[in-house]
Amino acid sequence: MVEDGLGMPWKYVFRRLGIALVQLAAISVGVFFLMRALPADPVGHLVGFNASPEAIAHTRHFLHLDRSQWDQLAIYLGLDTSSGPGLIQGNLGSSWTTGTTIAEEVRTYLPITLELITYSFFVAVLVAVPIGLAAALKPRGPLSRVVFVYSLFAGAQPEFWWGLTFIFLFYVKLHLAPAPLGILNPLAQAPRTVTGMVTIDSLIAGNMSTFFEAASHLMLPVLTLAFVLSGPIIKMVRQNVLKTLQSDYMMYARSLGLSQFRIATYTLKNSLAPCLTLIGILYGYMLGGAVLIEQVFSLGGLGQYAVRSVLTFDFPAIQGIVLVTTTGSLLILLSSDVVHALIDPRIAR
Amino acid sequence: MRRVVPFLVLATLVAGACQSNSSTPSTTSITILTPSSVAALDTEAPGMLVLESMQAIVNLGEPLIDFAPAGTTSPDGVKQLDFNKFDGRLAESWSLDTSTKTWTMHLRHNVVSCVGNTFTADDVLYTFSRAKSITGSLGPLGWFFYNTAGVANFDNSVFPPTSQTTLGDEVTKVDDYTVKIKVATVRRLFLPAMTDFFTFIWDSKEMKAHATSSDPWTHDYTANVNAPGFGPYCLEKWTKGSDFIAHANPKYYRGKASIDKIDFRTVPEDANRVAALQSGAAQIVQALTPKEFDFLKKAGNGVKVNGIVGNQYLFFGMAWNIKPYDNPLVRQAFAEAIPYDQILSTSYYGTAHKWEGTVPSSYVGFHKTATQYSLDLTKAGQLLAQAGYPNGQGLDKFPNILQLAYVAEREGTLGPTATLIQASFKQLGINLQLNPLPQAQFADRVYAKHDVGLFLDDQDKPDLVTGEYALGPFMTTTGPGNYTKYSNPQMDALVAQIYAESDPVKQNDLLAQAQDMLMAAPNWIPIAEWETQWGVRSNISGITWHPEDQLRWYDLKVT
Repeated sequence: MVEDGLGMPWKYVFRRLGIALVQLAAISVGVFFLMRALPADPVGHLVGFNASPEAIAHTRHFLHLDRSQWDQLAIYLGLDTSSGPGLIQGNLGSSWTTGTTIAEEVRTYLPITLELITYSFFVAVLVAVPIGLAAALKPRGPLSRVVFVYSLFAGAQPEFWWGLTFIFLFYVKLHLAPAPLGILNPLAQAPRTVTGMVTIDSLIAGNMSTFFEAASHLMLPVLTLAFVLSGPIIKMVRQNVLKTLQSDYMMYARSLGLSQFRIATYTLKNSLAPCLTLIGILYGYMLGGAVLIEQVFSLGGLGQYAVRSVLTFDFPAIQGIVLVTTTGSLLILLSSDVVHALIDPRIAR
Repeated sequence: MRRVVPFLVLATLVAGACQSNSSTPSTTSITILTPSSVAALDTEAPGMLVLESMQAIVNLGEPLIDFAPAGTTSPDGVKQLDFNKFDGRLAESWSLDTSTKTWTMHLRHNVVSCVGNTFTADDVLYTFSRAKSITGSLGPLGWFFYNTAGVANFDNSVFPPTSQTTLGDEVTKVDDYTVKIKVATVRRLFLPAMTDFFTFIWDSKEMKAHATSSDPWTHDYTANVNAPGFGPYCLEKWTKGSDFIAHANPKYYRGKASIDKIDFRTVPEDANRVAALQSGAAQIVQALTPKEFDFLKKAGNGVKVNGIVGNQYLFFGMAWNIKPYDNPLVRQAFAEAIPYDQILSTSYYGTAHKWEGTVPSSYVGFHKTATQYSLDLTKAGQLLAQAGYPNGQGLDKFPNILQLAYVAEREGTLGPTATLIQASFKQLGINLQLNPLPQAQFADRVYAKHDVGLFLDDQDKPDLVTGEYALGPFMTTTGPGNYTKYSNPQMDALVAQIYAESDPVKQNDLLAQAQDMLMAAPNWIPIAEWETQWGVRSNISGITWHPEDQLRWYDLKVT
């Protein structure tokens, strides 16, 4: 096992990275062919009404759709560079709908989604872990019962339903939240784009009024998503802590008379690994799965971009989104595996 | 520190909440909410077919001419235009020499673009040249409208193998403020085509400043950054997927617009657009369903609904060339089995009327046809029996054909309509299957491949406001919009005659004949003409309807 001073299992990391690259390549090619197997030709939508056969042929030629699928794949991958660079050269292509490069569009939409889901996970973990832990320490107590009901309740309704409910309650009735019209008020000064995340960029620019403006618009979507996400996390934390507390080694630790703090530390360390996996999977899923929250709060993130692209059969955009979200998910899962390996070195062997 | 973190988060959220009431716009700024976002500003990019892109371009750009105000208002408060009269815009006056088939455009002086460039004949030549270059990714619509207008050499020679894409002497500069345009045929469509946003004039100096060797016609810049033109508004900020902010052009030749700033913002959820309008966070909302507009109208609270029956219609298309629809008796039976009144009240909440011709009733050349259909199941049954399908017997041989396709994304209106038709047909013994298709698939099959047996369509509309344009592309054998594969040599000859006729009165008589012929044995069953509507705060006025159905922000007033 190759490890550095911190115990990082590099050989394991490189092996997992290699597998991730193969997975990415397979998914890219798979999605490429799946898109073209759909029972519709995108050209009809792109040219609109009243398009003459010549106009349709012109568009088809322009998009290389008049060539064989293998030729199109070679162009996409960058093996045929006669019409420009491809994936191997770092070019994801351009959207058929907007004409903008996919890289540029992803740079616009992805930070919004990352901002939304990162804050949501932060709030969810911040709330869920202490509550789950407290509920596990007194499994028959009132908090445990409340947590049980809540974790069922939060997950029982789809997130858009909670989003609409919260909008009705906090915006329409109580006037505590701003109108769900995006991340910034139209009159607010947008900060210079550095990360693409408005809250971070406004802090970098020292523009506190824009920061609070963005925070106010993010408040409700973040709370909605955190509300939904915290259910399964609380449940997972509670069950794992309970299981750990009932394990033989914890009984042994107690019999040795270790302090409550030391026992709690051991318990957390041993129960958080499965929770990290769950959080990692949920985070990866939310990269494209937060679409309903984005839609309800008009945030214009990657999920909405994906839906629009699918509905318009914008092949390059769909391929780009799949590639980006898959890369994100694979990296998150890799990080989760590495953390597991660090917690339990046997996994990396 | 661990104890402080939750308080920091809470403080941020509370501080954020305190900001929430600071969104009231000033009196000269308004927010318009719409479900999608501006996708492109290049008239030759597919993103231009997104309605929001159209709204953006009609406010940043300027045509050579426009329709004159009619001086009338629809019952629901929308100002109307007179499609027989024209006002000068970038062209001050114009004339046609029929002997040489040449239009002379006298251009306006002292017109300045948002970046300060002065409008001249070079901008007109650039616009025609760009359209003829067919270098955009959209099946070239600039070329298409000049072709429809009859402009010489804007024909199929631009496509391979000839690829004649360089502008020749069909459009020439006489001096800086005079341009001559030759036409291959003199058409009534010429002036309406010059009002369309696909022929708006580009600011050539600014366009050339952003051209590159790989993109000499500046498609990338217009698709992603700005649309240099001479219109009443200038782009201030454009965040794709989110908002589009424009300010009034202070140098606009008709005078600065009365509303300084427009925030054209994407809010996908209908319910949020409704809530924002009612709370005053937005001043105009668009693209709601008829049910939601009806709710807004009834709720009041400082909100009104403005609407007009313009050129939006609903029709029932039948493939002309396949059994059993190749039999006119079957098509007539179907026309007698459509529950028109129920559709108008159930799907459109009374904001539509029955379509009584095959051309929009607001267009030049509309004719209320001699044949009119109404729900009459007895007559429909008799027609079916005459066609050889008594009580629908025998039609079950065509299960794949008896499927009614419609756009799934328009379920709110088309879903109930399709169900009403299905229920009515059931009484005739016809088991109609409903087939909602995703928008892109519907477009592919109906608009491009023309391979759907039965369909409901409420999206297509002719952009140019004359009867010949409403019939030519749709009802002729080789017409690009011939979705039902209708083929009638008599109709082809009649439409050719209409296009060739220069006397408008005779043209309208011929159009009436064509519409009567179509309605007698319809390949389309015209069902309804429905209102284009906007939810508006009561202090907003001035909405004027233009054929592309988009708000012209210059017309709006805040009181």
